[in-house]
Amino acid sequence: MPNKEEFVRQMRLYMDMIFRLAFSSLKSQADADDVTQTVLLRLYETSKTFDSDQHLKHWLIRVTLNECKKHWRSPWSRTHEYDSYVSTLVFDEPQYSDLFDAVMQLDAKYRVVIYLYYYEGYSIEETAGLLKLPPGTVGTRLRRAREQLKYKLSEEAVK
Amino acid sequence: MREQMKKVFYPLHASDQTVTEVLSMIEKNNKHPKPAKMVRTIVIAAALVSAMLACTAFTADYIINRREIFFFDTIEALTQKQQEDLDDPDAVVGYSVPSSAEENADMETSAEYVARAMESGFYSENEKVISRETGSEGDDWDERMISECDDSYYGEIVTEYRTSSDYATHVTVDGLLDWDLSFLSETLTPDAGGQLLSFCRHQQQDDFSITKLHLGYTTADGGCFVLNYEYNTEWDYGEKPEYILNSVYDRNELYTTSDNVQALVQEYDGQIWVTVQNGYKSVSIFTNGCTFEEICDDLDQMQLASVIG
Repeated sequence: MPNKEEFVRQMRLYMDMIFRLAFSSLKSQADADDVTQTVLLRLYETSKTFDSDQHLKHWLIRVTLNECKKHWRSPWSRTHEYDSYVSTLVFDEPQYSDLFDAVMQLDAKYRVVIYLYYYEGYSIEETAGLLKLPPGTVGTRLRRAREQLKYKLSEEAVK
Repeated sequence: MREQMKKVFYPLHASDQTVTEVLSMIEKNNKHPKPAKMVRTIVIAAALVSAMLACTAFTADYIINRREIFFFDTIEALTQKQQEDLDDPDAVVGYSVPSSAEENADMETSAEYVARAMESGFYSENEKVISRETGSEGDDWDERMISECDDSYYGEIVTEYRTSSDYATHVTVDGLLDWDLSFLSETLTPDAGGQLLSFCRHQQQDDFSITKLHLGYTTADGGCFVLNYEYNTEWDYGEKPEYILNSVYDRNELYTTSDNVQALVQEYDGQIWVTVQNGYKSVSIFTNGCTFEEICDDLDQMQLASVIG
């Protein structure tokens, strides 16, 4: 177990990443916060040693994805605070708010690859490794996500 | 696109209380540590796991989750875990104690299950059927229902139900399944009206969501044999799914089929349950009219590698 100062430093460094990934998967602030706290607790309790910050980040992403699976028991059991939470988010420009809405309307499996590939900057192969999927599947999901985003955003433009 | 996506996700932040909450949980855990004799977490190599599974005198209950194994030294410890999961209606079913043969004697037959599906579907309290129609000549479905749920994100769901006695021997779903089950008819009699194939899709996006197959048979001595298959795009079991072995059962094993698929086979009071999961697919069997060895023979013939691969 790490000393407290080091652990607090790690929490501050990674908690937003864990939250963003969990929110991308679950679309619920409350669930994402739960997962974030659970993952950080797992980090404190693990006896695993990490070769590098990258190794640690990779481990945190895997644990977060696994914890999200435990929350994903039924598509009908989601809480309804999503709209009120999203209304509190502040984007640089309205176009990013529109893009956020469009991304959140995608299926969860697309949201997660979008987040890992575009926001965290992982390659298709690295994303495939994190998700335990073939690279071809990741590529397909990225392509379909982009097609759906293009369609949704052009629909909004017409409105 | 990358720069745009950074601006999209950047406003998402963990709660300001995260650090204090986690430190508080750590302090609480330090003050009240888990009793060592109740739960231990040990990382064990696969070879040792196999050796332990083969040891019939091994009395602890355990869960295989990736390469971590959780040991419950007593049934009381397992029961306590069950209590902790009571608030979670979707807690993993493996924690539960199985029903006895007597308790299951009045279980719904496959024909009754199929009739119930065709009559009213299978919906939770959050869902409502808003329309239904019966298929006519030319339709490839028997009943179609459109439902909606409280969470408007998913929109309306279209479910189509198809029945056919042919499914008992062969099931074909384009691009998904080509399953030859004719070997089952050598020892089992398909139940009249006990075969159902259903498809769910999101109405607005017209994208596929879930396929379910239910097949009912009767064994030579009048027992039941129920085979279920599900392909659910909303639920990923992963490549190394969590199988729960519970020594409350008279016997349980992780059986590896002739085509190298791992199946959880559990026996209690003359009843057998089988669970096989991989990615988005699962196969399950319940029977009270077959022996453990007969079930393993059936699993070897089921071509599970191609069914759930």
